Amino acid sequence: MSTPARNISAVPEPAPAPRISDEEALNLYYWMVLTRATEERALNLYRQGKLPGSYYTGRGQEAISVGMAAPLRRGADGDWLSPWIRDLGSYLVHGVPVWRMFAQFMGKAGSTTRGKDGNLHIGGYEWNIPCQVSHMADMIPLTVGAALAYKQRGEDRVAVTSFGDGATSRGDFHEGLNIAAVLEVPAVFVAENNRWAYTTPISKQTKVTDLYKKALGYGIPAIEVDGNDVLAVYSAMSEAVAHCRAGRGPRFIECKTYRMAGHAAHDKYESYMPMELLAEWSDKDPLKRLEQALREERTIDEAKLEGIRTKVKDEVHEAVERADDDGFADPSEAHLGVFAEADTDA
Amino acid sequence: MAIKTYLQAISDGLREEMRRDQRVFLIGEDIGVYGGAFKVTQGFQQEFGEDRVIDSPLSETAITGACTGAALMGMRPVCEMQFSDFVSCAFDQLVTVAAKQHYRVGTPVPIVVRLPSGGGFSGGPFHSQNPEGFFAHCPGLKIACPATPADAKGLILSAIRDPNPVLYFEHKHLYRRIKGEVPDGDTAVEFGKARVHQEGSDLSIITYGAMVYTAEEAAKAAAEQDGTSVEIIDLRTITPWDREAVLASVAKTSKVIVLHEDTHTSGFGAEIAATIAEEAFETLDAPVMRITAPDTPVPFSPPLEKAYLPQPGDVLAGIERLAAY
Ligand SMILES: Cc1ncc(C[n+]2csc(CCOP(=O)(O)OP(=O)(O)O)c2C)c(N)n1
Ligand SMILES: [Mg+2]
Repeated sequence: MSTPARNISAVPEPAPAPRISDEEALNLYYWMVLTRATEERALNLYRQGKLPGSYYTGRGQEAISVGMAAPLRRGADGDWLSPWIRDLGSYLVHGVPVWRMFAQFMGKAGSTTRGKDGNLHIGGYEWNIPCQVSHMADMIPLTVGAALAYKQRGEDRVAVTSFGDGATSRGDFHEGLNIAAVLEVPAVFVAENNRWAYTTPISKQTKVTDLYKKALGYGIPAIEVDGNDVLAVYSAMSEAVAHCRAGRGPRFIECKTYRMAGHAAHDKYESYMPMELLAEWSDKDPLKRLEQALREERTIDEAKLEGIRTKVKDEVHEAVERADDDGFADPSEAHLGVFAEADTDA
Repeated sequence: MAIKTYLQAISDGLREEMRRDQRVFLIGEDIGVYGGAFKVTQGFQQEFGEDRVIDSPLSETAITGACTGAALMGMRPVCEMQFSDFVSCAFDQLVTVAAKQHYRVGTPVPIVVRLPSGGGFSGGPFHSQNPEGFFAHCPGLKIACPATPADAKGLILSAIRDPNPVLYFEHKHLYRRIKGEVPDGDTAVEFGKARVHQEGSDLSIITYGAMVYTAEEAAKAAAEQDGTSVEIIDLRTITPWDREAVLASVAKTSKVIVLHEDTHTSGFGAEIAATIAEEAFETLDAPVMRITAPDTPVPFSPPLEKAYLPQPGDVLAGIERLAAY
């Protein structure tokens, strides 16, 4: 069963833990399996030297990336989603096709940035994903602005962004949260507290290691949830989004989790991360936990789960093939697109 | 046609565009109830309401970033830095996010950042700067530096309609001091088209912003002294900038002074001088001369600030030196 979200702020009433149907739970399972399979495949490709640049995974954080995106409306007129680098699953759930993720990692023409940017710097109007930058916390003020536009136009859309614990030390986080609260915009901020920022442990990052308390300080209703429980994240997110749509201002969700690998694929994390901690968290693996809940609490047939896993395997296989077959953009494109052409509807 | 101050012209442009285009909104510190530190947006909140004229917290980063997000969602935000000096706090949002967005993913960021800039009234090191050079170095940002009321209005209209991030530098010293004719109606001025402020045949001064008037004073003195005929080219915008107009003027006069109020090293004048050296070497009769502020912060006390800002006398001395070739 999902751990109910603990509501800390005095502002909203307690979350009425919504009943998640078996169908919804299986849908979350599909996305989580797809996320992990995509990342594992990409990591293999990276190790084989088939992906340029560096590679980051969100292993162990799939419950957050999937649970945060699942309650949102998709499409160009849907909700804004600006996920953090650990959140490959968010991109998939919000509509980005799997093969384009691989094309992105490979820098192919089919990448959402036509090879001009890499890794999870993915975006496009069709999904209402802005395309994150590397600079941590920069997307927080942007998300406030998107939410402001919705509010100004009286649309019941929501703008969502996620970020790591390290990002909460940057000015953009603090300015962004403060202005979001003052302007009362429909934005949901999702902090992924995986207790590490590269080699820096949370204890050296901040004295306020419960990150939701920072949001409370800005007057934003905030909760913490078990970030390794996708049903908990999904419930908390559904509730936060409903509040935003109802015009009740921003919300903040801290997901407590753990970074199950190095900062990036090239990072020798054994040199700084206590291995006991890693072992402890490996028992809390979000995918294992969801499988257990599906089998034991919801008595879902193993064959059904196996069917999902097989489907995902095929999907990932096809996606890699398609990305492999894709070409690179013409080198002349390196010089194009710095400026947008004049607006015709002005 | 009416005579207006530079400040009125900016204000009129903003107001007319807000009436014409519902997507335009303003955000900044003290711009609403109070009408802004320089009163450019006085009365705007009464006319357009609090949702379109937003008094924001003191947060240059958040203001600029929020404009980018709102622009991506179809709005046409115009934000005000209370003084252009404070854009340093928004540098990252402009350079990292807004400037690179269209190149990376093809989605335009039509924002305008209004920047009251420039010295001349003891604003000191933090209320007098001309930080356009930093941004001219960054691909993806457009930059306007109007000198006349007609351009102040025409360029703010174009800036708002441009699908790219635009930094609009409005020189504080011109706000109420400079009056001029502003044509009625929709008078958008195209970016990248220089204006011949005055025609001449012996020497060209390439400049923009408040230095147009410094050049004018020096040119007048030179003409009175010995009949030297100086051509003044007002660039109006420095990204993009009008290479053709500059090269045409240099071809005509074969002597050139590049003049700006920003500091010297890596200032935009260096780009102009280098381009002239590359493209017009054969037509030159004298070295390209740069006249700029020195490489120091802007000092506070009147005599020190006067020593810092390029004066008409400095420009006149430059004209005399080049005349010797
Ligand atoms: C402003 C900025 N400084 C430094 C970096 C380099 N960097 C990339 S990720 C990272 C650590 C991120 O930690 P956290 O926010 O906790 O996210 P996590 O990687 O744990 O998901 C650092 C230092 C960066 N991307 N942006
Ligand atoms: Mg972290």
